[in-house]
Amino acid sequence: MLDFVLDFISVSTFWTILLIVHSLLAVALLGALTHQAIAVTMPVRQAAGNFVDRFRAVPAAGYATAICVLWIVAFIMGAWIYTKYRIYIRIPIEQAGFWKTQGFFEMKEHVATIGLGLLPAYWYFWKNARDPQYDSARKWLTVLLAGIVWFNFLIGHIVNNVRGFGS
Amino acid sequence: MSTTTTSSATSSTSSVATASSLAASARVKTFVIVFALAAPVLYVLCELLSMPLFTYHPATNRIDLGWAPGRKGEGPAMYWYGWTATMLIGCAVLGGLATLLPERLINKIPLALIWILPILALGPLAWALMPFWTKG
Repeated sequence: MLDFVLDFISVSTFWTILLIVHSLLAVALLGALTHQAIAVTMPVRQAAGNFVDRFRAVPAAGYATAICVLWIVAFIMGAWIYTKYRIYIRIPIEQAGFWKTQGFFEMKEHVATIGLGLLPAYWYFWKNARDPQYDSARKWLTVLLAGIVWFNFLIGHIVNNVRGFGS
Repeated sequence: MSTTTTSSATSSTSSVATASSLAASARVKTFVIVFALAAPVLYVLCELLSMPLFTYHPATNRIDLGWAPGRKGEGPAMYWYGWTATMLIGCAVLGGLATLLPERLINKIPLALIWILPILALGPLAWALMPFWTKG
């Protein structure tokens, strides 16, 4: 299957496409979790007015399953790309002396995995959004996951600027 | 046509019902809470104590069980996949075992730990990356 694809596009193009798909999944995850985190920390109590109010007024509970699916799919895509990253990106980054950039990438992989482990509880808390005993945990867990996605998105962007596939 | 509509409506209703019943289950609650509490703890232990379930060598597609050093002439070794596998399996086992405990014990766990423990985990993980922060 992979050989068939590589008859039409170069290896570098193939991995660049995978990276773009990973990035687009991350963008969707970023948007959904940011909406949800803002909605849960600053819930609107009246009809939406300006842009910020409308941003906060989303039905946050409806995002939970989609966010879990997006996280898992983006994680799998990232894990796939990581095999090539380790050889074709990380080694040149280290040779160029960008140690802190690489260090932050290591943190990115750490927090992505920890976030994966938090998803079942996150899903459960949102599926019981009407149960007040989970309100605080749901709110701060959502904010934490949103923070992780923002961190990972920015670090991924920076690492790609330092050394992308095909460069 | 109407059969298809009815069938898809039934399927949609049943999937909603399944999700709702899962979310209402006390055992599922216990499982997800213990899973989430174990995740940052197990991951930090895996990283600090070098406990990957397997080691992957991307240049040769070789997989070794447990921790293995990079082989000379065969490129680097990757442990992250193995740490992730250890964490997920460990969390699932602990979560499963916790469902055997009385619910009142699980109800005593402060739910705030679910978001506090991952934040605390950042300290040792950042410390383990010290060579990256101090080089260059």
